[in-house]
Amino acid sequence: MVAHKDAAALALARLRRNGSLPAVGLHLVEAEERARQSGRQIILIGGDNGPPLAVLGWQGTEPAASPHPPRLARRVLSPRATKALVIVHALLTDPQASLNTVTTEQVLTAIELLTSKSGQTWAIPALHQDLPQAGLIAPQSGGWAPGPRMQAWDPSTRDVMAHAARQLWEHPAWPGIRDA
Amino acid sequence: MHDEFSEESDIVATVRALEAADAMLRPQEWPTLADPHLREQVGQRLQGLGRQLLTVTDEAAGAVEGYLSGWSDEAAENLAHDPNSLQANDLAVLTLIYLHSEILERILGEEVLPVAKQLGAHEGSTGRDVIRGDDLQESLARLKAHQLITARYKLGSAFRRLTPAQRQRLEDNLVLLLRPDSILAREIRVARQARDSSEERP
Repeated sequence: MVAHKDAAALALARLRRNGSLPAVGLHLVEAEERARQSGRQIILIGGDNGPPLAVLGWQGTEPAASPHPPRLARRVLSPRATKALVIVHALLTDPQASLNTVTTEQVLTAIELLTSKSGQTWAIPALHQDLPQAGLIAPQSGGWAPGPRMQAWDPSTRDVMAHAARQLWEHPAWPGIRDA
Repeated sequence: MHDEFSEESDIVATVRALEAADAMLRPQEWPTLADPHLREQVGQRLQGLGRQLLTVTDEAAGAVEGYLSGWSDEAAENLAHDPNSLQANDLAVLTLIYLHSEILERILGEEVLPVAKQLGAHEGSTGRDVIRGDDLQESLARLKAHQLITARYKLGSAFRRLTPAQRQRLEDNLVLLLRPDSILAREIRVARQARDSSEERP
């Protein structure tokens, strides 16, 4: 392995690759300056149960996909992963439930109550593959907690997801997890 | 009038777009990439992130089609040793897919079985399956998530993000794998040892 001559550049590359890293030892001052010069920013999250984690986010709002010139193609979650994400986020942020983690069973129950159908075939791959790989959820205590990328969402993404969550909470079939 | 503020914001917007893009950016639509001076500055910003500006050319005509960003050579080599990187099984599966779909089928034009069948049928020197069942499915899922393969087990878009040095290393690795006793393989090993020794010296 070659020794990397530019420690800040390697730290930013590792952040991009891993999604998040412990902030300690990351050459944060220089890395933050490099990130700023490129329209990115390092966001520190967590810290309650351990050292803070650094996530490579975007200054302002993420670049949006554009089908018109100047065209910009973005990688997007599959519809099944998006549906699962909306439900997980709504469960995690439900003020009546105050959950730190949600289990796969709670997600499947919510899907069944909302749609009157089983979500096993599409929700389980989303929970176990798509969303953790995207850093949106992370396994914790036998369930799923917000992943580093969810914790580092920009304000407009948070608004969109909060709006979706409110709609689900108001749905008559939304599960009363607080009573479970 | 030369507008430095506008130039700076164009450079940052282009770096952001390159880093977010799932496909190449065309210089006709991103003027910063069409201007050699500004493109150079975009490349420098990317280097500061452990990334590199890559030119995508039309294989037949050699004309520039667009630009992508990928790992810089130094970052790529360091990241390959990262414990969170792909696992040995993943790399073995990727090697088989590269061999069958790229070398045998696309470059040599040989008629080969579909890659999915080849993966199921491949046996190691002991005569047993090298990777099977759930392990194979998990490796394939990881490779798809990294865009290294497509849903049809062809090479994925990540291969378009290799620098010339990374592509050369891949071709050298193929020689080491398939013709380990050849003169060329020996030369590759000697060159790598010489390079490693020179980098270890203070």
